[in-house]
Amino acid sequence: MSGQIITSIQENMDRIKSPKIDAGYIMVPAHNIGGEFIDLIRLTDTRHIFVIGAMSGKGIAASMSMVILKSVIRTFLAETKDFKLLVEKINSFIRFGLPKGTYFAGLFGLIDFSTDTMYYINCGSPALLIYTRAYNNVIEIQGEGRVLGFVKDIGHLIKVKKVKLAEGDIVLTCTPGLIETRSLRGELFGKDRVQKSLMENFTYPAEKMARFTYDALTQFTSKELEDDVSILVLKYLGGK
Amino acid sequence: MDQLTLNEKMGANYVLLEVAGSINAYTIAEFQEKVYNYIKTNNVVLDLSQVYSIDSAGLGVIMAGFNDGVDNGKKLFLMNMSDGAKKAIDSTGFADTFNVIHSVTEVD
Repeated sequence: MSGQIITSIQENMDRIKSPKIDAGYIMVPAHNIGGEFIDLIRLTDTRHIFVIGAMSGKGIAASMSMVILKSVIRTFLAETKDFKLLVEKINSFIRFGLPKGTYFAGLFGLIDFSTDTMYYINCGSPALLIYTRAYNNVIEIQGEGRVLGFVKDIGHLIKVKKVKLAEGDIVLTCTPGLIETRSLRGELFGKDRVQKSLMENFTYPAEKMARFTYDALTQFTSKELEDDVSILVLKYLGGK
Repeated sequence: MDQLTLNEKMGANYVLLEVAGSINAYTIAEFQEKVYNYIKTNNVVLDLSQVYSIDSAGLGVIMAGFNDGVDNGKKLFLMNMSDGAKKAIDSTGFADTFNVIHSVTEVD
């Protein structure tokens, strides 16, 4: 029962309705419930926040921290409009408001459809990939990141980065379970296979791209997954 | 099933915990208890040379132990990190914050 409630909270998000973007995702916990989550939060008609990541630990404790954090993010958004300050406040909340040893690793993003710009703060995300239609290739843009909840004040340690999105560009981000899972032979799935999946499937809708990438992982491992896996795909369709 | 073994040694100004195995949500109980207790009154050195992996639960204990040390005027040291341990610590983005040493003679 608690699992159903947590899953329901986990899946409660503001779907992006802008015609400029096609967003799709997949969240697969390894053991019923866990601390991973993807969240989409509508700020205005032209601005949307996305969050992907994981609370430390496993099982019910991690999932409870996830539920609390999802709620707190929305509460903080009601009182602060500054993207970086939002992340700073979340860091402080995790440090002082959640059980000792809890931290968040992931990514915060903000898409401004009026300027075709994506802002993001890497908080320990393992991968943020972008397929650029103009060059027909995939590059990594996540840069260095620091997890939230360890230090008291993270303001001077995090940076807001931005990238201009053009029609046909695709953003893919994920949790470590995707790239760090090993096959029966001990081989890492790795970022190269994620990039390959992105290149092979870019003509499909975002939801299907996320699913196909996950399918590629399960085919590669040929065994039950031991870690949660979350994948978020954002296809920028452009237009006015 | 993953296992974790701990071996304790008392130094002049530190407690050394030799850790071997995988530090994860299933093996963490004793490790967590010892780190949290010792750091109240001692510097703690974690010998991580025989640790082959650390998951997020394990990293959480190490971070909390580090912070407790700061609050108590003590230090948590990470000594001789294995590749698996180093990879985990690096993933936090705070590798430059931890006290990393190669010998207990570096405990100050």
